[in-house]
Amino acid sequence: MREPNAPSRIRGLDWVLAALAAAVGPHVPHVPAWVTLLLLAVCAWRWTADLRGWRLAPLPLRVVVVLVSTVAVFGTYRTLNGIEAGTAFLVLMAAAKLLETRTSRDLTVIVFISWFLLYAALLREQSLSQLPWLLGSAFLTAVALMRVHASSAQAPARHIVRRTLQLLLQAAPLAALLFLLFPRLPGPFWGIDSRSEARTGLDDEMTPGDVSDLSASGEVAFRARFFGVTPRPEQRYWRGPVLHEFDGRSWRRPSAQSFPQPQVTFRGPAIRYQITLQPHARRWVLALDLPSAWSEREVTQSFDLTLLSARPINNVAAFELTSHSDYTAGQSLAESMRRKDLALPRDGTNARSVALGRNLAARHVGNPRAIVGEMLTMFRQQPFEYTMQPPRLADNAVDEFLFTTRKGFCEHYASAFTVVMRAAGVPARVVTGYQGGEFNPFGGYLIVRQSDAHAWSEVWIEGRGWMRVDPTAAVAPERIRGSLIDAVAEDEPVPGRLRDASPIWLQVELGWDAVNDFWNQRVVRFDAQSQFDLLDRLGVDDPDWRALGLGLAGSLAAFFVVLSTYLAWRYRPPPRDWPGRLHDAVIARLRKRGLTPGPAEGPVAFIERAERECPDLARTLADIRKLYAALRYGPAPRTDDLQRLKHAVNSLRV
Amino acid sequence: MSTPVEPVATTEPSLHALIDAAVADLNEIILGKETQVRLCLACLFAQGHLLIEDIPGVGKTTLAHALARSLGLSYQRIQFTSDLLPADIIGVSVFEADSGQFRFHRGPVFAQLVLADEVNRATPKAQSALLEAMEEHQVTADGQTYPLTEPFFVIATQNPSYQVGTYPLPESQLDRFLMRIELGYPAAALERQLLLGRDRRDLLAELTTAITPQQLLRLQGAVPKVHASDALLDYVQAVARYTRQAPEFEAGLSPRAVIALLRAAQAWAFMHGHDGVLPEDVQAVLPSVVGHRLAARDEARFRNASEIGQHVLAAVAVP
Repeated sequence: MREPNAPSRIRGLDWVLAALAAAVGPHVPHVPAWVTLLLLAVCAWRWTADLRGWRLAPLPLRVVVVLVSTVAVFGTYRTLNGIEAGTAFLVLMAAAKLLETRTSRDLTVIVFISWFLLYAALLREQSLSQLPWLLGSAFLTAVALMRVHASSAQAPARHIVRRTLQLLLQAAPLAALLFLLFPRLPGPFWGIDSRSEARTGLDDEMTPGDVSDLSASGEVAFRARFFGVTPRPEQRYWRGPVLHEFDGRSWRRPSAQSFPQPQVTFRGPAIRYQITLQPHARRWVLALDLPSAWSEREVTQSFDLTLLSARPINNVAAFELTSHSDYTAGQSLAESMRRKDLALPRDGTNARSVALGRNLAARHVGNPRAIVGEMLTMFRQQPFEYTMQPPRLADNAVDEFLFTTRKGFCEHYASAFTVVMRAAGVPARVVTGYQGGEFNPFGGYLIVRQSDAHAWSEVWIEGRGWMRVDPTAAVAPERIRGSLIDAVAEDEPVPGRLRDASPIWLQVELGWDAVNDFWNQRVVRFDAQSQFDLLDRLGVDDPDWRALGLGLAGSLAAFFVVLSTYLAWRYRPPPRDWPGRLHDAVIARLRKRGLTPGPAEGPVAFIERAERECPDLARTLADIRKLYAALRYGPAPRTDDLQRLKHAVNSLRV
Repeated sequence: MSTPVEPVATTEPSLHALIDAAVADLNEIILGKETQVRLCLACLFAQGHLLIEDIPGVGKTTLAHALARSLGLSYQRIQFTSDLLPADIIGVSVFEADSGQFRFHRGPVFAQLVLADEVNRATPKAQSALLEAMEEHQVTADGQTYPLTEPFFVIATQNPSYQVGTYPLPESQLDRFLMRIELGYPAAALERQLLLGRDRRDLLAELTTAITPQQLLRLQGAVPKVHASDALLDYVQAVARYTRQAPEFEAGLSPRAVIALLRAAQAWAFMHGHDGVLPEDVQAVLPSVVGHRLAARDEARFRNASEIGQHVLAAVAVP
């Protein structure tokens, strides 16, 4: 039963609660569980309170709830700023607002919080797969707003849903226009970094097992669209971070050290392509070995020839690059660099490998190519096995791998090879990146997944410069020419086995990927440059911000002119009949005598008033009045009445 | 509206004279309330019932009584109280020992003009007995249906203040009254005349019949035939559309209310000798017909029903 004197039920509360729950949906995996549970509990309580007519929370309790949740969020994140803490805080504030929701104005506030939550979900991720949920929630929220402000309490939900849909569809052209032409600021939107978010991708450290772990993920790492010929599979080495420092087990990038930039000369045909990176929260830009030119001013090249973006890549980002597969990198090696790339730990670990290297050096003095060749031959001829599930390695990882287990993934081979080269006096480094990629015929681009993650080596050869050596190619050439699936045993957990087995599934997946690519390219990445390109295509020469602004203003004006014209036509007044027009003429003439009809004064009453106020016209006006009444309201006007009315109006001299 | 309608004025020349005479007679008794008297007659001619809302003592009963006399109608007054029973209105079957049968004793509702005084004081059950009679022009008792004498006209009164212990008529039942009017205080000079003049009851006794019930029936038959042109219906519909779209009302006029508006306007046009209904005829009756049928969303905005009516009147321009 409802309590006596209970606050009356608010219209639309159920819809608003549903909309809020839907808007919180995308945040559930990211905010602490207690935040979600608290919100749901408050929603359930508020709904029951409405049903049963319970009293709402008193002010002291609300103050306590707000303070406690603020402290709790601060305690969890050490800040209230940023997308993580911000969304958690927003969800809690929505819950707190529910405690005091009494009027439709309060509900409107909740509706706006819901929209803001949806918007915050877009700050975190802009993937196509979450779009249906976001659109659905936004629609639900709009319906809730309409419900709160519905003019009649009894309006059926069906009508409100239809009306909301109608309104949103009417707004759609305007939204599209603003999307296309509203000037966009370059750079990350609002400077919000989602750095704390864990992203899959390459790291600046490599321990045996890292790359094979990564390879178990079928996630897309990036997509590449070639302008011209697509390179052959064995040429598709996507260069990522280069690792120099070895501690006996793991490889690392050197921290902030500066080395001279090597001179690179390129030969042969240029490969031009655009690469669209999925967010990986690091600065490097994957590029085909070896990038020779890039369009973005923000991108720089490090001393080990990795491309670096100015900021961590936290949103989908695209770069236009040019690479040459034939190049000479470095005329001479700086001494500091040589020392770095020959360094091995001096604690005596991996002694057998070091000994192997020294042995190789002793046999091929001054011939590093022979050293490389012999090492690769060893990999090729001895029973090495390429597997995603190598045995665990202990302290002397390289020794164990080379002489005992002989089972490894690309990082094992790259690591072991590089260690032996360094021991043999050949400067060498580990390069991580991706190798291969799957061509998507629907979109005409190459998909590179995390399962294509790879590691290889680069060795310094005097007079030749840095040279790429991939020991994996010696062990498992299928991996380089084909894909991971071809290279490992059938029972290994390679992602995409289903895809490989079922051609239909492959089509579906590639089709979905093409749609995703379109979404990333045309919607998420639609930036200032895209806007200028659009204007250019529309025939604006040399478009700039001004052209964009003018275009926006012009299209908005055109939109509203079209809309107003339509509305004016749609709601045009019915055409005036002749007596009506003649009455208008009478009004116009009497205006000269200072007589105007009142806002709701009847036409006959007005003429009667005029008769009283202008006795000199009374006779003509009386005629006009009778004829007008007969013509417009009488049962059977005579045929000459209209003629007589015209005559009478004409004879009205004021 | 192309069907030719015979001009009422030519076939019934006497009726207008009769109406004017009746108005003149009534004005002798109810001083300074010509508009209300005319509205009252228009309501009667349009075969509707009338609700008068005003404080006691402004002449509601006198008006009703004078009307009955002037039109030669049988008259009954029912004072509504909280213990009034339906049988007190429609009558009761009594066992007669002589004949050994039940005989129906007709109640006060079997008059031609019934004054239901302070209708909101009775319980909904008693109210509904009267309202059923108003709607059906017949009453049912013990399974037997008795038609009421035509013409049948109910004037109900309500006191707008002192709402304690009353059962206000629900909106659906307010709709059964064609018009709702107020009488108001008389002007000072007229009140002086009242104070100096003879007792109104004596005057009532002298009042002669101006319109016979037969003439009244003919008159009632003529009202729906008054011509309403397309242009006039445009205006009526504009009024309806306004009330349905205006945010200040909970709901707009129902089709029944729109028909009521047109009927009342036709009666008014007939009374004033117009061949067709003029917008001014609609405007004359509009506040009385529309006011009590619209519920304001913001209750504080309008003081009473006639303010609502005036608001609608001022808001819709004649097309």
